[in-house]
Amino acid sequence: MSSAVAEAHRVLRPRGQLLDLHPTDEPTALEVWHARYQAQADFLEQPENLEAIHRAPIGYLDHDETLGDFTAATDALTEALDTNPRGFSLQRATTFNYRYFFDSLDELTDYLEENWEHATASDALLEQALTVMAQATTPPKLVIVQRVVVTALRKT
Amino acid sequence: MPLLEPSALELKTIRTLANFSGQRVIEIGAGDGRLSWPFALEAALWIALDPDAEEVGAAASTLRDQTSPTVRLVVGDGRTLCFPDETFDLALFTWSLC
Repeated sequence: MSSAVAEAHRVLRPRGQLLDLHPTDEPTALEVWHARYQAQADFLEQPENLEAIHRAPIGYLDHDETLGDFTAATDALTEALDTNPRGFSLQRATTFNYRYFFDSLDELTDYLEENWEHATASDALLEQALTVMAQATTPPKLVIVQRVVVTALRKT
Repeated sequence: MPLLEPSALELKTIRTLANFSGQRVIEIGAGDGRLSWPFALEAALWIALDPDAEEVGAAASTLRDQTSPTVRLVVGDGRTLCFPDETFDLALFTWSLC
């Protein structure tokens, strides 16, 4: 069991719960979103309202080998499940898409440079995004879509 | 600025897997508290732990308007927790187990 998971196990009461969120090792997608109707200018407040949003997939960010680091979290949880009798049992796991919204290409690239060491947006990807943004009929947003897995474990 | 607030989908997904109400919670890798504040005030105790003092400072700035004696911000390492055995009902790792 990893040291962090082992420490969590120690400080949890019997039958206590461990909840983990971490990105999967799937490539991160870039999309352009815009509202279908001008009246839906607040579409970001209702991101699940697919009727109101036009979503255009552009492609994927380029990742270096550190994308695989995200599997370390999955490995740590798997190892915790294998550690019996004083480990964890799986309650449930599910996934969702985490989204980052940007108003411009500059904002997107600045954010990646400052915060994401493991991913870059290629010139071709950015050019494609710019083309799609220019075709949008309402103010567009650049959207990074990252798959996240949430796992609940129960202390045994 | 990019929109980095937790989405309704993210919060809803977490709530399908955990109930924080009345629980003693330790959040490991709390960062600036982005995921702490939507849930922390429901808990009986919420320890938001992060090894980065600057992040904990940012979390404190955010918390200023909703100070609670049940919410504590701690600079620390999740691999060596300074709490007794069996202190918490729930341990939450927020993008910190990588």
